[in-house]
Amino acid sequence: MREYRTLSLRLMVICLIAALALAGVNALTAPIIETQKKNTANAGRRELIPDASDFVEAAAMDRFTAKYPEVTDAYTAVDASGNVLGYTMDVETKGFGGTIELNIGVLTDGTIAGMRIVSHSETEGLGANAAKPAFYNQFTNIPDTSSVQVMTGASVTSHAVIKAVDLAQTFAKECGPILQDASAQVSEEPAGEDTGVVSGNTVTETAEGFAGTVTVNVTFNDDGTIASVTADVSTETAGVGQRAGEEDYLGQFVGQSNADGVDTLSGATYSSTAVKEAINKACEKFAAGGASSSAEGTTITESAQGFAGEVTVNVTFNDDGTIASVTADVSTETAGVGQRAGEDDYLGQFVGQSNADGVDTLSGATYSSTAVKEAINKACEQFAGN
Amino acid sequence: MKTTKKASLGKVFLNGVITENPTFRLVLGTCATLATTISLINGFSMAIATTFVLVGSNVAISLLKNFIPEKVRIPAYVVVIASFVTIVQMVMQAYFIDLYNSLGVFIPLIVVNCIILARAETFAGKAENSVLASAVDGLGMGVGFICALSLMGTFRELIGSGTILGVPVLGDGFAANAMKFFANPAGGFITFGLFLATFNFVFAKIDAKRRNKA
Repeated sequence: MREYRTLSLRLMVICLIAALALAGVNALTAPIIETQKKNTANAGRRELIPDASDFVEAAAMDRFTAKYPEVTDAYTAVDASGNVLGYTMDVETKGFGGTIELNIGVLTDGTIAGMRIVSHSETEGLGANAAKPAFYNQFTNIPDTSSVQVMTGASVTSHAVIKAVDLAQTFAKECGPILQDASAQVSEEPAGEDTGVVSGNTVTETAEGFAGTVTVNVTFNDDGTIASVTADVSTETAGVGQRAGEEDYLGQFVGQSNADGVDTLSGATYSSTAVKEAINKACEKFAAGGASSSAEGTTITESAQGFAGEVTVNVTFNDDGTIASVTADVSTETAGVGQRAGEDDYLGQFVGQSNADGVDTLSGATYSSTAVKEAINKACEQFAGN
Repeated sequence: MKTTKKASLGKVFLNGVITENPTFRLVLGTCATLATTISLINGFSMAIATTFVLVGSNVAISLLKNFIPEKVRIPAYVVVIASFVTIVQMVMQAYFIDLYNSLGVFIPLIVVNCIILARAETFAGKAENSVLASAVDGLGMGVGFICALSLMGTFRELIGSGTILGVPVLGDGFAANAMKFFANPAGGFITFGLFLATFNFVFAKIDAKRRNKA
């Protein structure tokens, strides 16, 4: 018993001395290791802004995520005497093959200090070249990205990177000065200017193409579908990007209510994407202000005998004879029963039809709904006769 | 008395470097040897770190040998050795971060390097060996380890990468087309085998000569 007590006590003493010695060494080396780790983490950022002596992480980064979801982290670069030199942003963007993570430095005067790709999954030999000095050195100390040459065969990757750098520059200009001030907020409205012009049923919108701005004029039907599209693609490459402005391509949008159903043009991804983007913007704009313009369509009022009295319908037609909208006055019918034939649930079924035959009568409200259908058919006949 | 002690210390030192060279004669610590000798600097610094632990633990154990109970000497030795290894690890991380990164997991693995426990058990823990002799023994073994790892590191870096300490001494042409095989683990085994064979051959010759003389 005594022997075991000696054994364990002595072993404990040895462990205690060892622990004390380690604690002492740790106290000496821990701060140095901490600095060392920070330096390693900052090495990438220092490549962008070499004069900076320290990088301070932004306070309350989530303030910016609503407006700039692509910017995942930001640092303020300060020199030895504490002056702010610029900012570095960790940005995630969508490339050709997947997410590209970039590290972008912007100086306080808005100059782009540099860009590095942290990780990517772009095509080897094409998009992957964005991570090579020949491409990323173009971003060193430039006022804006207009001087950057895109890589042949890797337009999507190049433009994703350029867009990310532009975004980081915008972010730095707006959010840079308030990075360390956790209480300051960014204004919520998007930074982009509203370039759209609405005149009657025609909306003019622009979007950034491959080499410049692409302008589209979209004329809408009253129901919000596209009646015709023209596009000004004069800034794009002749014979390549300019194909996105030709009738062959633009014709595909007619009858659609947005641009999503039309594919981009192979070989002219950027130009056609810009055209689509501008058309989508125009569609949104038209939909937002569409209430007033739909009144300009052809509306015909007709009536028919219902269950208890006369039912009146107002049918608005598209140019092609299909029904754009229907309202009905069924006030004479039985509340809760026949009057259901005047509700949007039922009337909505007629939209897009060219007559009422394709819609069933309402069970429990046969007379009222038959009257609605009859009135609509009369209106259709009258529209066709005009 | 004084002269015999000096001679014995010198003998203790040379014993570690040549006669009982830990790598080529005792074949101890081969894991670290094979893993870190892909370049001269890695092998050399690994051996320096090991030497520090060897000398430190030999001295500490020699000082404590009357305090450490016989029955728990191995746990006590391991605590002492692990402490020195942790110190080495922290110091390297603080001051030699590049080496720390390139040696990686092999720094904490010094704890289980057989040479260190072997010297604690067979030399430092023995009552007849003084603290000074234990220090010299640790140093001798360490220098032997340094020589062995530097030799293997030089060979493997020269043949495997065409460089010495990162300098392309055989010309850029060779460096570009170096026999990468020797920088790989399998090349490490073959290098180790070649060196072992060479040393065995040399020592066998020396032994034969001595026997002839006698």
